Amino acid sequence: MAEMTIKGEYIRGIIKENPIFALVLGLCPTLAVTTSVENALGMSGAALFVLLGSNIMVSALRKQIPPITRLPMFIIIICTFVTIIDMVMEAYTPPLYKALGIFIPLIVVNCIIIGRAEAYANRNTVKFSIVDAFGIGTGFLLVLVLIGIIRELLGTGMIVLFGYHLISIPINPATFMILPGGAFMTIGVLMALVNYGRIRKLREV
Amino acid sequence: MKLAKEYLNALAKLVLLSVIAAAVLGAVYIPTQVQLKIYQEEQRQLALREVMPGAVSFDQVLSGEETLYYRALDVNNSLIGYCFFRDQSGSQSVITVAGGIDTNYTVTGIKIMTHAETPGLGAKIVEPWFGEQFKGVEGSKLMLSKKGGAIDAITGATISSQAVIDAIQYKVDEIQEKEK
Repeated sequence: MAEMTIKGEYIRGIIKENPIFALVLGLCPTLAVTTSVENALGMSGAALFVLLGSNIMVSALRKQIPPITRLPMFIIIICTFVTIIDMVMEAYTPPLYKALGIFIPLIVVNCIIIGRAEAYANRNTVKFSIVDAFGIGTGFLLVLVLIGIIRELLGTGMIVLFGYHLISIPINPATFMILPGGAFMTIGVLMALVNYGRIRKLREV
Repeated sequence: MKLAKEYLNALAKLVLLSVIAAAVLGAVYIPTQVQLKIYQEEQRQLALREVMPGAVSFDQVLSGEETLYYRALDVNNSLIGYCFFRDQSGSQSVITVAGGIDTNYTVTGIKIMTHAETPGLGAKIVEPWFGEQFKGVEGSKLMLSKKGGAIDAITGATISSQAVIDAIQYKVDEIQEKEK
């Protein structure tokens, strides 16, 4: 196996093991909260915080965690970080907290996070687990923001971020894009494009 | 024996981890609750202005530590009505309602602050049309329309609708009693 480098591990989380397009994990929050760029940023920020905390704790304790109780221990660690971010967001960013609703507590059972604990942090050093968390977290963030941009732009005709009006395009907004159907369609089209690119690349080789 | 030791070891580690987690959460809980209280108070101030348009200041009417209701004053410092908050048991949850009435005990506006009623049924109490119905309704007409009142219930959510009415009615009666 090739030697791990920090840069390589970081990029791997964004491209080769992108949580949405390659691992196909965490689709539920992806579909639900990408109604606007702001929500997408809030969700992926919260997920990154939890992923980072959980990866650090799991990799630091990996020699102490008995294999028979590893899942409950992962869940306790993840729960703790989720509850922290839940309480902090409720107190300091109430509108965002309201918009994300149940999806913040549900980070506890987000398969991206428990997947990384089991598949990566439990077997690697703290240093690489941090890099992995940032890589996977960035991959998640980029996809969520991309879907958020597409849906908000087509659904409302503009992008508003933290009260600032960023872009507006002169179209007749299709409310459908904000509704769940728009989420399925956007992610379906994006995934088809990604797979098309992947197959073409394979054929060239 | 070896197996028992292994189990005990795992158990001890689980307990230890839980205790640490609880301690960390406790430490985060206190400052965030303080901040949350500040935010809720802001929301309450906004709600008071919403249910009583035209009021510029609100005097608390206290009973011990508890705020019973607010006397709403306009720019000339004259009394234009009363505002209140009421926690009322709904169908699934406690509904917190903000309301305002003028000096003739006619409703000037209501606002649902928090609730956890059934989505799609009772949760519709937050919809604007439901709250709008209360505007201009006097105390004696605060009933569901099927009982001869002025408020149309939400289809399939009579209990939630009734709870909002009860909340307002309770406070109207209380204020009437106090201000007599």
